[in-house]
Amino acid sequence: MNLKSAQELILQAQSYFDHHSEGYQTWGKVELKQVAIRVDKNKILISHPTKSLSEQTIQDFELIPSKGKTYFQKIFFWKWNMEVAFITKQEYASQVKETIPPILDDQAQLLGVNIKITNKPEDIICTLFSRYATILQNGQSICIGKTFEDTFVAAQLLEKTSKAWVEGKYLGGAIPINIIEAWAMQQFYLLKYSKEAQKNK
Amino acid sequence: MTDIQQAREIVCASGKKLVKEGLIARTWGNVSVRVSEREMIITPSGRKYDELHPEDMVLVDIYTLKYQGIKPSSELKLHCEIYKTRPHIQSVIHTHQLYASIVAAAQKDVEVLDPDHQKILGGTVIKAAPYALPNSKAITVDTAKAVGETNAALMANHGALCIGVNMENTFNVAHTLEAACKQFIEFKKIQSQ
Repeated sequence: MNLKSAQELILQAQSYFDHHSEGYQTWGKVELKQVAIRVDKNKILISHPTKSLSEQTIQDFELIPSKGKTYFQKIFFWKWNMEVAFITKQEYASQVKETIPPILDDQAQLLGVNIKITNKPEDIICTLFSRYATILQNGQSICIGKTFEDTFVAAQLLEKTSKAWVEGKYLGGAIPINIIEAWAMQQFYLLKYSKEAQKNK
Repeated sequence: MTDIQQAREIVCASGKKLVKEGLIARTWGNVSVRVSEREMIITPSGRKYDELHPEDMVLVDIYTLKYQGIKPSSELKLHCEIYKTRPHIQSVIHTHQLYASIVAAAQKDVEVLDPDHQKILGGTVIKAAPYALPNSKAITVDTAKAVGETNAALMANHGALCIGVNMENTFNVAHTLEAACKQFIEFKKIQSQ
């Protein structure tokens, strides 16, 4: 993606969230805090870390090398096929303090076999290995994807899964799916459904 | 019964409505309408609902599973099983709705507490079918068995199945199931305090 397209995507990020969150309102509150977009192999564009996204202009964005010590840099350096990353603040994900095992099919398919807690940037390559979302120790979350839409859905699904995990405790606890089956489901989803969608177009 | 073109339009519009109302996301879930004693129209496999058109909906033989054109939803066997075992049912939707999914993840049956909900759902308990891999024979048989004579079932770690005499009725079942599951969780929350 070129720089101009990446700038456009970040400028529209908040309105995309507001517009597309309509159907997910019951899943919990997902707040977008920061966006990072891959510009090329060596550079990523990031939004301002503290300023509200809706108030940001191009001057607030920063073009940084993809190699470095921050969360975003670790992600984009090691996960070369990922194009978009979000830092979010989520109502239920922020309450989770332990690994969420695979408790829902859609979680296993889209987010990976489990959702891990990341304590520091050095850990994120492990906690996002074959996974698309992780919860940070400070209560925020990181979601990644190949497109803006994929990343948006990952954030929403993280919230749904977290809610099922938190609220499931009142029902005696969510019962995990076998981890091998969860892994197989993810592979099935990634391979078969993407091929099928292509074929059916 | 609905004619084929009308059924295509109903199924297509219902898929979009399911996404808008947060009952499903992306390509998950599926919708069908019966068009004759042995045929139904169902959503296609692996397609995003907002990109679908009525002509993309697939006509399937309930007994042979034969279809023409685009591949139908991989959960078609479950829809067929319902139409075969419940002849008066005219539409089926499979959702990944939130509160039903929470109860399904805990693999619990739902005690339907509200008498109005009981009437719409057709029972005082909505059963959870045991966990089985998606598209497997076990998920088809167990889910149809869990529905029994009611209008819904949970599918463990997966979602819910809702059935009705028309699409409007089936949506009402899905929303009522959501309300009943939410109430059931709240009740268990109070009990645990």
